[in-house]
Amino acid sequence: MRFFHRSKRGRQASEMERSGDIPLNDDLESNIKQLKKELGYSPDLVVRSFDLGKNSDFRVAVVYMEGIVDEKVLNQWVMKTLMIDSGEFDQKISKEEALELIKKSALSVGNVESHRSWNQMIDALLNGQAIVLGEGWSEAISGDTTGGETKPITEPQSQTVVRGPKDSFTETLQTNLGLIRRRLKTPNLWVENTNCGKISRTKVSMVYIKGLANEELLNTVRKRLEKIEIDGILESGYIEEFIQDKAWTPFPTVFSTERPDIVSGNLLEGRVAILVDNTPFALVVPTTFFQFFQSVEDYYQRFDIATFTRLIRYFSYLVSLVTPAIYIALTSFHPEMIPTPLLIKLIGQRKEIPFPALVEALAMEFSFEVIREAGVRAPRVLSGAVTIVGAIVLGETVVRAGLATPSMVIVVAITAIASFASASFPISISARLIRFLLMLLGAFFGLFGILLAMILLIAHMNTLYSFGTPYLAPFAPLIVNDQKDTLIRVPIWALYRRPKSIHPVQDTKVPEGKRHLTKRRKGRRPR
Amino acid sequence: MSKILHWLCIASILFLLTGCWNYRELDDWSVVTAMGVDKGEKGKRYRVSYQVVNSGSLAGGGGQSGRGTGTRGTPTVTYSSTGDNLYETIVNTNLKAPRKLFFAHQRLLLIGESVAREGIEHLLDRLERDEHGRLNIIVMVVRDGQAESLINFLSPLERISAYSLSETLKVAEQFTGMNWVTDLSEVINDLSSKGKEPLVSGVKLIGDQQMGDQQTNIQESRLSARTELNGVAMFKKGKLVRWLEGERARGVAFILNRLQGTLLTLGCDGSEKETVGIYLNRFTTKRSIRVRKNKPVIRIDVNSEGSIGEMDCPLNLEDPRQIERLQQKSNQKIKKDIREAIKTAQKSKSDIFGFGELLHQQDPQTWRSLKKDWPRHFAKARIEIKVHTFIRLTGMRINTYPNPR
Amino acid sequence: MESAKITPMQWFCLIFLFELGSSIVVGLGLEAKQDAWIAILLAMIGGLILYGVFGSLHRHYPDLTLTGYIRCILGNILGWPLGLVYIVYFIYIGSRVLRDISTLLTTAWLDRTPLVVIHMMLILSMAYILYHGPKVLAKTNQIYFYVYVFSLLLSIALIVASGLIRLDFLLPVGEDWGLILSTAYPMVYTFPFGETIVFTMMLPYLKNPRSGLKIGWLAIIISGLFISLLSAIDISVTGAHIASRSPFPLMSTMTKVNIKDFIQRVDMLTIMILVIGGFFKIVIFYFAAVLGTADLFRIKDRGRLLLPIGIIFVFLAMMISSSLSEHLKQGLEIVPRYLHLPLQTGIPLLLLGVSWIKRRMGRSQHPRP
Repeated sequence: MRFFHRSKRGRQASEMERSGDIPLNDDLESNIKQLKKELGYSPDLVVRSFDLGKNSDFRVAVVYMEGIVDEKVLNQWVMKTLMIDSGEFDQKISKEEALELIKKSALSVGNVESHRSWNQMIDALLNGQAIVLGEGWSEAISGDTTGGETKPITEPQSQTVVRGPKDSFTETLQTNLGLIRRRLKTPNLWVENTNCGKISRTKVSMVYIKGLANEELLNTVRKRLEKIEIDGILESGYIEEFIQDKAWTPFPTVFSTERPDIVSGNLLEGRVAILVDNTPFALVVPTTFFQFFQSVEDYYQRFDIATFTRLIRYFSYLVSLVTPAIYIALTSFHPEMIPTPLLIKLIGQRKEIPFPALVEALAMEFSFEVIREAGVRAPRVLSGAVTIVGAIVLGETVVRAGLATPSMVIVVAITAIASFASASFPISISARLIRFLLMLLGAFFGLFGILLAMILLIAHMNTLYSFGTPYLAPFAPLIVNDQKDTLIRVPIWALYRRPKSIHPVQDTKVPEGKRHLTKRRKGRRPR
Repeated sequence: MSKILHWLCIASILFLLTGCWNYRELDDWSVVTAMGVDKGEKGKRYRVSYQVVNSGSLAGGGGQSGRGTGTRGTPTVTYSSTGDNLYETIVNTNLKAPRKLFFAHQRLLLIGESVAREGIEHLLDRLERDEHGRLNIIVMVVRDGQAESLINFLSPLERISAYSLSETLKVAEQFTGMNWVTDLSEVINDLSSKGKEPLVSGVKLIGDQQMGDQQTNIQESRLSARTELNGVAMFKKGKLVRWLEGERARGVAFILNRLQGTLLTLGCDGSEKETVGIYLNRFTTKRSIRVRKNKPVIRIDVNSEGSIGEMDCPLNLEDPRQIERLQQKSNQKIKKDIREAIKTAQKSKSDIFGFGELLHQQDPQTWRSLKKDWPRHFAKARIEIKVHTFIRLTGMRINTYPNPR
Repeated sequence: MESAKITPMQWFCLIFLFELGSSIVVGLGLEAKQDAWIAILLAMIGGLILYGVFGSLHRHYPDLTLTGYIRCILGNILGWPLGLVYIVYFIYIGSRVLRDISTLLTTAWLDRTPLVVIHMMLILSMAYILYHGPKVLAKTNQIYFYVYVFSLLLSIALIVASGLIRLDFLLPVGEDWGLILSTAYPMVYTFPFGETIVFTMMLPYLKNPRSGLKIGWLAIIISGLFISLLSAIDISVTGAHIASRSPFPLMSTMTKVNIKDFIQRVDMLTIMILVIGGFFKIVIFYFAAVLGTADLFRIKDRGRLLLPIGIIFVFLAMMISSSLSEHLKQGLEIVPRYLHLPLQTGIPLLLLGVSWIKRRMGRSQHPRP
C-alpha cells in the first residue's frame, strides 16, 4: 500500500506553524511530559510505561490515543508482544539493539515506522497509531493500530438501485479504499495520499488507475489538492468547492457519489476519484453534465430499458426546469397556443383567483420549496406532520379557498415529481434556482424570454469545464464515439471505447482484434 | 469577475425597467369562437356578431368546488356591433363587452347571405391580418337569414354552437358529400386567383326562428329551432351568384376530388319504388385540360369504390353481371351529377372548379392568352367525363331476404 | 486548455444556422411565386462559388481575417478605410436581421413591448456569449443546431402529417424563368448566400482549415436545400398568393397544423425557429464587427468592445427604418443592389484578382504556404 506516499508534503506546510520541528529527546520521562503538555493533558492520551523483558530496567512506554485505535490489535499485537512475549530481552542488550529488535520483530503489527521528529510522531499518534518510546532513544517507533469504532457498511441512502450492489461508502477512508480495491484487483490501482486542513489534518486520497488516467489530469488534480488552504475539512464538499473550475455556477462540476461501484466504473473510464476521510461521499473528476443523469443501474439493466429510463430522466429534468415558466408564459402571453377546451377551462378557473398568475406561481413554488426543506430538516418524528400539513394546505385548502387554481397545483406537483427523478441530487438542486429565474423571464417576455434564457443557460454551461473536459461534452463539442453512452446506452459489448471527452491514456477497452469476438458471441446462444 | 457583475447590473436594470408590457391575465380575454357578418343598419356597412364563450358556465366540470353555484348562464354570449369595417366592429364591441376579444380560437366565420350577395372580396382581410388569426377558420354562408341568428343559437350536444356547426359540417363532408369544409385560406386563395372561384357551404336556421337563442330550446328533445346544412354557395367575382343543391353540389365535389363518402340511390329494374343504396367511400378524380382551336377541352376521370349499403329489391348479387349492371348505373348517375354541376357553373360563367388554375399549371403559355377572358372561355369549354365505379363489397349479406308474395 | 479553435463540425453548424436563420422566417424568393424554391437553388450555386472565392483568399492568408488581408493586398491607405466600411457593413446587416426578428416578435406576440427592450435583451445575451470567446459561441451554436434541426424536422413532419401539402400549388414549374432569375440574382444570392462573407472574419479560428472549408460548402448546400424545401412547403400549404403577401409565411403555415384536432397550435415551434435562427445569425455579425474593430484599432481586449458595439446594434436596429414597409423596401431593393453586391462579390473578387496579380509579379509579401 502506498498510503503515506505523499504525506510529507502536507507536513511540511504545517511545520512552519508549529514552533519549529524539534528532534525527540532521548529522555523518556521528559518526552512523555512534553507529549502530555502538547496535547493539553488530554484524558484520552494513554501512556503505558513498563520495563522491557524480565529482570530488565530498560523502560519503554506505549502511547496511544484512546478511541481511534483498535484496542484488540493494540492489546494483542503491541502490548502482549512487548510485555510478555519479549523473551529475547532476557539477555541484557544495549538500547540500540533493543530498538532494532522492536522495530524488526517485536512489534507484530503492520506498518512499523520510526520517527525522529516530534511532529512526525504526533501526526502518527493522532492518526491512531501506537507509539513506542524508550529510555535513551531519540527515536519513536509507531505501529499501525488505526481503528476504533466505525459505522458498518450500509445500504446507500441517496443513490438507491433495484438491481445492483447494495454497499456504500462509510466514514472510514480505509474501508472505502478497500471497497474499491475489492472491485478492481489490479496493481495499477494507485492511491496517493495527502493531508488537508491545518487543524483537522484530514486524510485525502486520490485514487486512479495507472495507465488509464491521463497524466495531465493527474497533475491538475494533485496541484489543486495541494493548493487547498483551510483549517479543517469536514466533508468532501469542502474539497469540491476548492478544486472545482468555476465557483459562480449553479451546476456541479465535480461528481460525488456514495457508491463504490460508481467510483470503480469511473476509474475504469480513466477518471480520478478523491476520497476524503470521515466522508461517505467520494468525488469523481472530470465530469460532464450528462454524467449526472446516468444512474449506475443503467449498466445493470438491459440496454433498451436503460436507454428508456435515461431519456425519462433527461426529460424530467427539462420538465422540472421549464414547466412553471412555460405555464406562466402560455397563460399570460400566448393563450393562442393553448388548445381551446383547455383554455376555456383555465379561464374559468382563473376567474376567481385574486392574484396574477405570476404571483400565484411564485407563491406556490416557493411554498413547495419551504415544505420540501422542512421535510428534509425536520426531525424524523415531525416530518410526517410536515407532509400532512403541506399536502393539505397546498393541495386542498388553497384551491378550495380560491387562492390558487387547481391547474397551478398540478404544475407545481409535476415540477416537484420531475425534479425528484434525476439520478443525482446536485443536478436537481441546480434546477430549483434556475426555475425561478425562468419564471420571471417567462412573465416578462413570454416564450421569447424563456428561449433567450435557455440560450444563455446553454452558453453558460459551455463556459464550464471540469478539469479540462467541456461540461457539455460529448454534444458540444460533438464526440461521436461518446454518444453511445450519453443519451442512450448501447449494449455493454458495443461500448468498447472509453469516453474520449476525458482523454484516457488507452481509449479502447477491448483490443482491436478481439472486438468482433465479443460481438459475435452475443449473437450465439450460450452452450 | 467584476465584468460579469457589470453585465448583471445592466441586466437587472433592464428588468426593473420592464413593465410586463404584454403580460395579460387569462381572464382578461374573451374567447371568440365564431363571428357572423351581416349587413349593417343606420348607414353602417356591417353588423358583426361575436360568439363569446362564457367560461364560467363551461369550466365548472369536475366539481372542483361548490362555490358559484347560482345561475351560470348560457354557454355562449353574443355581442353585436355595427361598423364600416370588421375592425371597427371589434373595437365597438368593447363598448359592450368587459374583456378584450380574442380571436386565436375562432372556429367559424358565418357570412349572411345578403352580405355574400354584395361581395366578400376584402371582407377577409381583417381575419388574415390579425396576429392571432388562424388560416383554418371554417367559412360558411347563412342561407336566407341573418348570421346573427346562428351566432345566438344554442346547441344541445356541443355546448358551443360554433363547434356544433363545424362538427356537423365535417361529418357531412365525410358521409353525404353534399357539403364540405372550406377554410379561410382556401377562400382567400380562390378569391385571389384568376382561375378559380370560391365555393362555400351554406347553413340555415329552421323551425321557430325566435327560439334559437333561448335556453329552453335545448331543454326539449325535439328542438324548436335547429340548424341544417343547406346547399353550397357559388361565387363569382367575390359575389354569391347561386346555390348548388344536393346532388349538384356532389357533382362539384366529384370534380374537386373532395369527396370522402357519399350514398348513391339507384332505382331497381322496372320499379321506381324499390331502390339500391350504394355507399361510395374511395375516390380519385383526375382532371386535365387542353386547348384545342381556342376552345378548352376538359377531361374528367373519376374512379370510385364502394359497397352496397341497402337493397330492397330482389337482385341476385351472386351473379357478377348484376354487380356490373349496378356499376354501370352508378357511372351514369355520377356522370349526370358532374355534367349538371359543370353546366350550372358554365351557365353563370363561374369557374368554381379551378379549371383555369389547372390550365395555368399545365400550360402556362396558353393560360396567359386566355387569362383575360377566362370565364367566357370556360363557359364554352367542352367536357369529357369518364367514370369507373367499383362495387367491391355487399355488406354483411349478399342477397336480400326473399319476399314470398 | 482554451485554444480558441472551431471544429469543422461546429463550422458546419455555424454556417447552417446562419444561412437558415432569418431567411426561412421571412420567406425567401417569394417574388418568383410558386417557383421560389428554384430561385433559391439557383442562387445557392452562386453562393457556393462565392464561398470558394472566400476560401481561396483564406488559403493565401491563413492567419488573417478579411480586415487583415484587405490591408495586405490593397495597402494600408486603401485597405484600412475599406476594412472600416466592412465593419459598418456587418453592423448594418446585423442590425437589419435584428430588426427583422424584433419586428416579427412584436407583430406576432409582443405587440406592446418596446423594440429597444427586445433588442437589448438579445444583444446582452449575445454579448455574454461573445465575452467568453469564439469557442463558447461555437459550442452553444452547436447545441442549438440540434434543437433547431429537431424543431424544423418536427414542423415539417407535423405539416405533412396534417395533410396540408398540396403539390398542385407548386405548379406550373418554371413558369417564368426571367422572373426566377431576377429573383435569384441578386435578391436571394445576396441574402442569405452572399452574407457568408462574414465568415471570412472567423476563418482563422477554424481548427482544420482544409476540411473546414470543404464542410462549409456542404453546409451551404444543405442549408440551401432546406431553405428551398421550406419555401416550397410554405407555398404548397398556403398557396403562393398568401405566402407572398405574408411578412412571415412560416408562421401562417404553422397555424394551419392540425392533426385530428389533437396536435394543433404548435406556434411554439415557430417561435423557437425564429428566435434561435435569428439569434445565431446576429451574433455572428456582432462577433465579426467586434473582431474587425479589434483588428483595425489594435485593441487587445475584445471584451471592452462588446458593449459599445452592442449599443450601436441596439439603436441602429431601432433607427434603421420607421416602418415595416420601409424596412422591407430597403431590404428587397436597395440593400441587395447597392450594398450587398459590391461588398459581398465585387470587393472579394477584386481582392482575389489583385493578390493573384501581385503573386504573379512576385512581389507578394505573403507567398502561398
